[in-house]
Amino acid sequence: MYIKKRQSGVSLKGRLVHYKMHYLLMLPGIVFFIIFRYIPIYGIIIAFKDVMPFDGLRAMLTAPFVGFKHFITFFNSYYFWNILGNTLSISGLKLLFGFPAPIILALLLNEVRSARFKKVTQTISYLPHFLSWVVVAGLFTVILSTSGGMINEIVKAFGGNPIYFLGDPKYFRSLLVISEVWKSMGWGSIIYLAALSGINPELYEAAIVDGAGRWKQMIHITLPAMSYVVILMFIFAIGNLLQAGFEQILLLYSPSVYGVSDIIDTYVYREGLIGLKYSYTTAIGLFKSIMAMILIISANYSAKRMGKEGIW
Amino acid sequence: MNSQIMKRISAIFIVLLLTVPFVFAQGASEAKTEEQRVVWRFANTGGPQAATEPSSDPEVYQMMQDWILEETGILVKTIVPPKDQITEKLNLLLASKSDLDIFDANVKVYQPKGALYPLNDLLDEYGQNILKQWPDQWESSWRAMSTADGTIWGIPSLPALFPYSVFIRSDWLKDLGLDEPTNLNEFEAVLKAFKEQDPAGNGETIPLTTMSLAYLGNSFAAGFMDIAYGNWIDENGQVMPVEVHPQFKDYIAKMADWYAKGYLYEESIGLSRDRHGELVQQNKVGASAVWYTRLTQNMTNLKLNIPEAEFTPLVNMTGPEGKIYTNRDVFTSAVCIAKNSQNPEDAMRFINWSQQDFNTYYSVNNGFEGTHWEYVKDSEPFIIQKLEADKKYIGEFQPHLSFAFTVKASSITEDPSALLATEFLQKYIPQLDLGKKAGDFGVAPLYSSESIQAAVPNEGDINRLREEEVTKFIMGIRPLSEYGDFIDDMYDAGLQKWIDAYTAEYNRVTGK
Repeated sequence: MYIKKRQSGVSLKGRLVHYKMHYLLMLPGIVFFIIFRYIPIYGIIIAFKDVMPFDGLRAMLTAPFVGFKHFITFFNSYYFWNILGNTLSISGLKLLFGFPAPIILALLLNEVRSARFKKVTQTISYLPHFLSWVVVAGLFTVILSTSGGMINEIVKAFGGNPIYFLGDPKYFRSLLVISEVWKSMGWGSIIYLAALSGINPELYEAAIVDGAGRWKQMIHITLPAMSYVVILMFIFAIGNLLQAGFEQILLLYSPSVYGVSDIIDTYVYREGLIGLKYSYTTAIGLFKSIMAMILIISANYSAKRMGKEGIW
Repeated sequence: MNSQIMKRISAIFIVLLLTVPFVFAQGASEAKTEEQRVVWRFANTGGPQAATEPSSDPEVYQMMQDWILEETGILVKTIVPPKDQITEKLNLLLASKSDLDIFDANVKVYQPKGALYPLNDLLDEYGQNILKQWPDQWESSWRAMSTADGTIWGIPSLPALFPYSVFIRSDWLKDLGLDEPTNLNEFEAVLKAFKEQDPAGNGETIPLTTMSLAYLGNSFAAGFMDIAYGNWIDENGQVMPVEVHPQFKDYIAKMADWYAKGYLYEESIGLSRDRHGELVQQNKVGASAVWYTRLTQNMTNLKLNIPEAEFTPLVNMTGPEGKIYTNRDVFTSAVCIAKNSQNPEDAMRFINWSQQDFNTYYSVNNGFEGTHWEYVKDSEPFIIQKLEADKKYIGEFQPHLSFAFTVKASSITEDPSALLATEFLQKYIPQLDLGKKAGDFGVAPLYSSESIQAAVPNEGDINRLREEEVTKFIMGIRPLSEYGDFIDDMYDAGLQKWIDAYTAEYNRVTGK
């Protein structure tokens, strides 16, 4: 209120001068977004043109306009529904299992009494986040191999036959979800632990006086107190629903599991970066961005309708 | 007051810290202030991609660069891409118009996209050695490098070859008292023996492996069909894909049978080069059906583990329908000059200089005479003794890996990998009578990929369907009783357009 009053009579120039250090601090971030996020938006134009991939920036202007040709080609693609379905279902599964996992881990860690045990557990759970997908894919490939892989050695020890997990459509999506949850759960719990640390301890003390056990404290104090962060993270997760995990899938999939794993991003990679159809794949990328925007607006609207705070 | 000053200093420091990388990133692209004639070589094939070392010894690299500069007046700079991102890196360099002059590429893919520089004038003016060295009997390679108007877009590296083979552990055959198989029935009996008698021990024997559906098909499919593993011409003169040939199902049935019995390694299709190498080197693989170097390159490490280990190529093995192998048609991959090259004349001069004689060619590819190699016989056919140099050279400056020179020399080496590769190269690679030829052999390299892409914009979908479903049939994920449905699916995906487009190209090239 005080700041508003003070600012109301001051010109923009005056505010810029007064808060010059703040604006200066913002500058690199703004420059970054202008250069790497906003200027490239201009490239979307090639989705409506037939641009030769190596003709450079000028071709973006001079190439013939083809309207929605590339979008129609994609929608008529034999695998359109398969790719869209895979993208949504893999993302959906990751959301279903991957979203609650860090919340549960944070809640469990919050209940741990021993500070040392808590720290060690936290540190160990963060570690997979720092491994690149190349390393994780290598680990999973070796662990799950039918030739000397740990899991199949256990299967054999119990009298079973080795299973080629990574080549079997029955198991492939589960492996994607498991590896994703394993890699991201610990790191994702940080924000929830931060939210938990901000809860006023007096609320718990009052609840104990009222006879609430740990379970009831969690249901009536902890969860409501962190619900804002959960909703916020959920909206972000919805916005990323079409990001099904390009690198992870590209490194782990093979022809026998294309049917359950080929997603928009891997399709764009094959057709665009390898097949050199830049206009076509830009159209697909634009379609994906529009879908993501619709999803995030819907999620934000729903959150507000439920009486929670949205992201805008 | 002090606190205010400290805050300001901190803010400025943070801004500088965040801004400096931008400034330096801008400057990272080397300033072209020097007058030096520079040629950039993108080393995406040959030595740098086969070497275990990521780069040459810096001193040797500098010496090679200096030698080329002294001989040609051209400063050659090299970019070695990561082995698993070669295509991505090349495409990004081309699209961003980065410094790039010479690279290896498939002219059928890159020419229609406008990435290549036309070479006719450059070859006439600066490329006489190159023209002279490529033998007349491989003249079809030049046609494969050209568009219908006669423009040449690449310098050929390889003619048609016999590169695929099943390699078998001959020491295991001896240990088990088995003869070298001459047909697929005997081969199956050997696989069974490998599986049951487990020569690797601990149940770790992999009777047969491969790395891709293409390697498997090129190594076995022709043995089950009266055609090769490739396009065929039906009675109406239409170009058809191999999957719709009536006998192709017999091949799949046999592979599915081997897979189900545990003869064909479960992870074969889609096995990475590294993983395949590991399995071979760990003494687990009994037979491997691959492009020959994928096997031979592992011999050195395998012999370190098992000195008595030997792999033998089964080049004369036959199936129910005769020869089992499919020849590789004339290569459309070539050495190209980028359309945006700043210095195409010097790029051509550099390639041409490297082919002035065998000594120059061999040195720029393999290192310095006397340090990295020496002559045992210094006239054609040359015999080379490779030397064990402390300071390695991996061939970054290699301007052109030309088969015309490859066949001029043989190496004396104690390195088991090089030994087996050289033996296969000398004895079998040029012998096209060992394999079968696809129905459009010699014609397919002349197809216009631009016309085909325009007529079949979703060819990628059809290719995925072919690869995915055939893999599933072999792995038993999809029953073979559904093969008819698979053919129907191919037509639903646009196979008729594919047939029409390829037939039109076939007729255009053959003048029918």
